[in-house]
Amino acid sequence: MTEQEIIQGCRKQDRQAQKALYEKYSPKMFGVCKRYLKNHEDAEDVLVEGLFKAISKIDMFKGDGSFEGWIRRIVVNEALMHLRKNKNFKMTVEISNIEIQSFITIQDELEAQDILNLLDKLPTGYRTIFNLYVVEGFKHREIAEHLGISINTSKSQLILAKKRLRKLVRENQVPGVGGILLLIVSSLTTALSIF
Amino acid sequence: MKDKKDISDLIRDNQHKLDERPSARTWERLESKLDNQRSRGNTFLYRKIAMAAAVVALVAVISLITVLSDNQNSQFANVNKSAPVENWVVQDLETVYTDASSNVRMVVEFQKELKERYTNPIEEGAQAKKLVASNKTFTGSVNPPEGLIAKLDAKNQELSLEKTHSNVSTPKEENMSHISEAESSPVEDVQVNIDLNEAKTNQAFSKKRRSTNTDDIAKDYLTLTQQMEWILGAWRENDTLVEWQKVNKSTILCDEFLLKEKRNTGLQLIDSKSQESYALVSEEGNQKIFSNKNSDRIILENINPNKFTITFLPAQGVKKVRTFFK
Repeated sequence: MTEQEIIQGCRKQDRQAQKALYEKYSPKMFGVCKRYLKNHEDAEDVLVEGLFKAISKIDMFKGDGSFEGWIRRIVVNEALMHLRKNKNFKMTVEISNIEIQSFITIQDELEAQDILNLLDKLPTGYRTIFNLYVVEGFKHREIAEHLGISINTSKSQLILAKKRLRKLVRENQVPGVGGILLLIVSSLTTALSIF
Repeated sequence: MKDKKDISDLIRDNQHKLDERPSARTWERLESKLDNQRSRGNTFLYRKIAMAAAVVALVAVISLITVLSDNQNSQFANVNKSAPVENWVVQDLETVYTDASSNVRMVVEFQKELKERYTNPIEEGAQAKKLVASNKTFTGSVNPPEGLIAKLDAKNQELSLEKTHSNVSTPKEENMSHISEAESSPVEDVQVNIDLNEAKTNQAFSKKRRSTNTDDIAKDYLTLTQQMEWILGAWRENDTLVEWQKVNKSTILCDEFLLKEKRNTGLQLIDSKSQESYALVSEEGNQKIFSNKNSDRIILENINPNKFTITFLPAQGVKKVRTFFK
């Protein structure tokens, strides 16, 4: 089922089309939800709610821009609403000791778990703004409007989020595949040397 | 660890690795939600229909009420219509016009009267001319009281005296006195006139009084005398002749008796000899019963036009009857 067929089917409230939409976009949207929400159940709740809104308000999609982007915006919005509803949406202010050191040497590839580990250890405010700015590509002005905060807060939160991320990377050096192998090899050699 | 790369870029680039099929339960939840929505949509539809129906019903009720109230009003209006406003107006106008017509009639009548008055004017004479009643006009109908006549005579004498007196005076004065005479004589006339009028008014007054007290025992001034007029003339008692005559309006007398009527005491029978007066006590048919202070009674009874009796009933003593014939 192509994207157009899905959209047409959803407009006619065709359950097959709806199912197709779910099958096609739910993994990506679930990934989005996971980036925003630590809790797996919360992520699922937000996913269900977001997709439901997307399907039920399919008529509001005018067809300009990507359909995926439209669904994504709905899901992100839903995630933000969820965060706000549960009142864990506090901006952590740590203006002091802001070092701007944007480049660190880490592995090119990050495993899903690595990313999740990193994001999960960020406070909700940091993570949300990091997600919105870095991943979703929103401008600070948009984020400020969206979350009802000032642009400066959005900027500072982003800086703090990045700083915290670097710290986190440094503390638990995310081991790559090679690293793990190296670790295994080195441990094996030590074991052999003992024997 | 090939290149130095921003962590944000790393996360952005590797975000797709987070993509994951959510649990099968998620679809079930979504599907149930969609089913709910569909049914809810239906219920929404039903609810919308119900709401619309309610609104329509409400509007209908309100319009019905307004229509009913309008009808009530219009019923009143119909009542009014049954007696149309034009008629009211006409009636009002009619009343107005009738009023107006009566007014007009009055005016016309008044004008007529005025016209008649102009065509047949009452001759009042000149302003200096006074309406004077001469003595002659009254002598026929009314007898002026004797005192008044005497008074008049006295005045005339005085006048004549004045005249004589004025004659004695100088010619100049004579002229003046002539003038004064001319002036004074009408004044005298007027005075006389006034006196006469007084007598007249008195008479009228007494008449009025009489008319009001017709049932009184002492009938009234003069009427009783009139009632007694049958007694006038000559009567025969045995061999003697007794003549009753009317001296004036209130007095009838014979040699022995005097019937005098007074305003206060009513009719009185006075014995000329003893000067004892008997007041009229009661009337029974043709009987007139008089009584004095000692309750001695005299009954005057007119038995028929040619016979009457006088009965003496002393309180202590013998009854005595005298009979008179024409």
